[in-house]
Amino acid sequence: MNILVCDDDKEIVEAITIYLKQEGYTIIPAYNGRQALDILEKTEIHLIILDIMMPEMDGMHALYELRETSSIPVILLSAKSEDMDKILGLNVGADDYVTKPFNPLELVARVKSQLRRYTSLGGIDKENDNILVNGALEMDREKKLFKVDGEPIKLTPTEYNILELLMENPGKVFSSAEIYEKIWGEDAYATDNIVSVHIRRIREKIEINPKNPDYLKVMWGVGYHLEKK
Amino acid sequence: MDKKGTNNELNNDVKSKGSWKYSIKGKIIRRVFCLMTYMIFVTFVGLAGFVFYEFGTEIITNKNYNFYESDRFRNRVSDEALLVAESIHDIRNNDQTSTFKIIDADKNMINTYNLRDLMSAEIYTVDSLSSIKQFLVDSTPLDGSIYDEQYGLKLIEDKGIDSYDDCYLFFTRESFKKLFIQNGVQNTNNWLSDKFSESAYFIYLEPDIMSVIREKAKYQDFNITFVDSTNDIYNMSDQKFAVYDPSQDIYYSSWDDYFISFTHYIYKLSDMFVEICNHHEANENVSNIVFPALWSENYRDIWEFVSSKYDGIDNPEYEIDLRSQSAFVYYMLLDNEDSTVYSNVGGLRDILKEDNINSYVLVREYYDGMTSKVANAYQELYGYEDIVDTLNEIGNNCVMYFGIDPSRLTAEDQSLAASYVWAYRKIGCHIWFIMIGALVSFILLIVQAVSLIKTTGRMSIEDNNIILNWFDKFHFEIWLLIYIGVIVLSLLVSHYAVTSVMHFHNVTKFGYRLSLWNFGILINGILSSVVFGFSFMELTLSLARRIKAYNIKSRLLIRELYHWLQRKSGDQRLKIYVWIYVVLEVLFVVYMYNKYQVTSPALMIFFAFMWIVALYAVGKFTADMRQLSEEIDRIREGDFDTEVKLQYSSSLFDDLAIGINHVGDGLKDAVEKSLKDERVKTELITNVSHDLKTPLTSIINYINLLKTEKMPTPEAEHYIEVLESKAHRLSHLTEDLVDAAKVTSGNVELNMMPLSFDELVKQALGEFEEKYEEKNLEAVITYPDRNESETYKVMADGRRLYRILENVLQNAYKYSLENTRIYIEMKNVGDHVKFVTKNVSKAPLNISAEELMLRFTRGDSSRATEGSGLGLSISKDLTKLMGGSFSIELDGDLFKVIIIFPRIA
Repeated sequence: MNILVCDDDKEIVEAITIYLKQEGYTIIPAYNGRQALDILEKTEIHLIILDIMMPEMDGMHALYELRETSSIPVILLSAKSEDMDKILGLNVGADDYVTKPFNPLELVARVKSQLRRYTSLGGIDKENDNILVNGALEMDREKKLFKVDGEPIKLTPTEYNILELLMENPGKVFSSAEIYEKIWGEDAYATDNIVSVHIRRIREKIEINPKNPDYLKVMWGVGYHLEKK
Repeated sequence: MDKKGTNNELNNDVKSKGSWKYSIKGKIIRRVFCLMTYMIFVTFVGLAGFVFYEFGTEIITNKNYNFYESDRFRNRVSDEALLVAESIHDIRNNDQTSTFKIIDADKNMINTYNLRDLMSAEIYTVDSLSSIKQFLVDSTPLDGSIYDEQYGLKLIEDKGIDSYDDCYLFFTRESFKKLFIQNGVQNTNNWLSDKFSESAYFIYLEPDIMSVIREKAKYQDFNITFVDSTNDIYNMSDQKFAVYDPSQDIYYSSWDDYFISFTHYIYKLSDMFVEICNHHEANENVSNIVFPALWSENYRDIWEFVSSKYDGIDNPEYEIDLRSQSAFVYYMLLDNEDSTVYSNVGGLRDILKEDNINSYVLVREYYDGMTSKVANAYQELYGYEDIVDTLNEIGNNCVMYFGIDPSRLTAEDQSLAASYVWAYRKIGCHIWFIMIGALVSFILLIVQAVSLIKTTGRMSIEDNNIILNWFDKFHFEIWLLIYIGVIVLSLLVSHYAVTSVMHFHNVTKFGYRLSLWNFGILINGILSSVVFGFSFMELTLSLARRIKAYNIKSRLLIRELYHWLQRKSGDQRLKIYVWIYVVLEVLFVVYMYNKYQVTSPALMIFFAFMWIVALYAVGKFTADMRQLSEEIDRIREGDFDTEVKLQYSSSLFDDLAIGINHVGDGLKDAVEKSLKDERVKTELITNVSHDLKTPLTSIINYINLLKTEKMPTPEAEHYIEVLESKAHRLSHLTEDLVDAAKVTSGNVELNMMPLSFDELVKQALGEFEEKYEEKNLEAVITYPDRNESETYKVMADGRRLYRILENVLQNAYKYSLENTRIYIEMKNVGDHVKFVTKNVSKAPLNISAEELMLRFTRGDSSRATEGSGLGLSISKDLTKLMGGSFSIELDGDLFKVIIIFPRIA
């Protein structure tokens, strides 16, 4: 698998290269957007890690251009950590957004996740009601299986139930009380934080970075929801 | 194709029928007809109104209405007169029985004729005796002498020997003329005169008027006094009466009026009588003079005539005191000798023609009678002593007949009764016809009017575009004023026209007043109603057009005035003051008018002018004020570029305006500078933070890489650990730095939304479960005083509030003593949500709460551990930004954090 890593900071490129090489990927470096595009034309690339703030051509422009011809996964890498930047990046066509400084392991995990998703050719029956799919998450209700990027994840019954509830209603926010009533069947009066604990555990199992979840997101003061991908 | 054609034809037919209505020609013709109908209607209404006004509504409400019995009529004439008048009226209408005998000695015949037939005229009697009269002219009667010496006249029934010595006779002037002589010349035109010789005399047999009247009186309880003696005349002189002239339906209202002329007449007659008698004495032939009683307005005519007949009579200068407007005396001379009759009837033909002398009161009195009766009476009444003397001299040779035209007598005294009766006869008794006419014409008018209104303003039946003419565009008030004016004027004029018609009748009867003037009024009335009808019609149509075009509201003068005033006056309060001023002024004017009758137009104009000036000045003032205050508002809101230019540039406010503009400028500069500073600061921090992050990334990455390498010594591994933890701390610091900078400069965009504080706390605790487990800390949430349905909803930025809680819980984690509980309390206090955390501090807190809250302050001993020290400060600022409050309390080892937010429903 060829991965293009583009950042104007040589050391960062180097560091990323080391980590990814360890995973068995081939890394092709670039130090600005123009270079990245040139490489793209010549070489077959499977994933791009792209910094935004670069000279000559910044990441956004490069992304915009390459998106005209290619749909390979792009992970943006940037020191800009505002929501607006993330949204902008994702809108332009990135598949993921990682802020600096980053946890290299997290970066690796995301690379893997993106590649898995990109290369998996199917096997997902979207028409089946019993199979819920949301991005990398896949839940087979018949078999009571849950997969992330094709990898099966082991969940406790409670965790499964909560996840099922959220996957059935992607995007819908459930408060802790609602989740408790639906899953435990009792009134949620004066419960403590049992639901949030479970959520945290689920996150640790399915999220690349549980501290910064991609799917099981929280709406502070309102509840939890599964982000629709 | 065919279908279309036929449709078109049909349409054309329909269109052409309807379109005439809408065509200009059609509209004009319809208008003309409408106007005519209006005039007819107005006439009918006018007449009906007149009738009801004069005769009362009982004219239609009372089925058995008898005009002569009606109260109104009776109020105008006395009862006796009424009765007499009625009787005469009856008689007149029913009299077929009066006969007339002509006795012609020469021709030796006596013929009886019905009076009417004979004379082709009407006989009128008043207060007459019912007796057979025989008029003896000479002493060669058929059946003996009928000349009574004492009385001068006797009537003998041709068959019998009864005699009657007083009688009254009426003849129409026409009949007189016809029967007798004109200009002293035998009237050859009358067929009678052919047949009879000049010596023929006639006997008139009257119906028994008296008994009829008496008969009637019996049932009416009236006291009828019949004037057949002079005493009676005298007695009646102060009584009211009505002399009824059936030919004209006229009544005369008092004896006095009646006889005033009489006396004059008598007086003057006596003079002439003297002369003529003297003259005739000279002429032996004229020994017996029947001196009838007509007097002429123009005495000279009489005299001329007489003198032409009787030579030698001088032309005396007699003053004839006749009523200037009347010639009511006509005379007839009967020459006994040659049986010639001389009268002035013919001689004054021209004058008489204009007079309506068709009734006479012939009072036959002998001169003796006069001396003894009449003369005495009048002598006593009027002091005419001369009459007595004169008549005494004359002797018994004359018979006097007085003929008076009653209509002339009291021409000026004609009572309203006469015209009243006339009005009734001509107009009043046709009331039903009038009313029906009015109704019919009204219906017609309405129909036409509706049709006109429907079509006005449009050019065709589908046309929805209303065409307004120049007048329609005037303000509605003007239209209203004109409309009211037209109505009022038309009412006035029509009333005037109707009443003048009444006078018209009264006056022209006698011809001595110019009829032209009244006729002119009538013409004027007709023209005016044309004008008014036209105006009325056009105004109504204009209104219809205005309504169709929805034009009324928008063309109200008052509305425009109001808006104009609004624009000029501006400020609400000042407007009220102005209106109060106006009201006071109006009241003042009214008061002045009432108390002092001061209504000079100049004063009114002056007040109006003052008012307008005041309004204008106030308006200007408030407009300027308003502009200035708006300007200040704009500056307050942040628009510093705004500049005010006073509309009216009253120097009062010029300086103020300039000052305000400058204020704006100054503020603008200040704000710009401040903003710039802020921007610079934030930019700086952000840039710095970015710049920091990049090398930091590498540091963290390579430290990580190092960790994967095998280290030579355990110490090296420890060093790497240290490096890693510090690198992470550095990372946190940079994050915090940016946040702190943003938060303190207020440069944070908050995403406020309603959220459950309760939920948030639970969510946050979930994150710290593991961590707390590490130190065996137990988080306990309590809800003191909680009700069933209690909620803890607040308005906040969820993420930011979480960060605050995270900070608090993190601190609790970091600084709590192991194996203790962290108490978290959620409570509703009033309209606030109170969140309190309590935990036991591991290290002693030897610092005050305020100091802790300062930026970068941490408890001394905590400096060794992680934490940037920015946390509490940022939390406090963030909380404040969201509208809440953040405070800490230290009590021994107990560390309390209190967050309060306003509660929302």
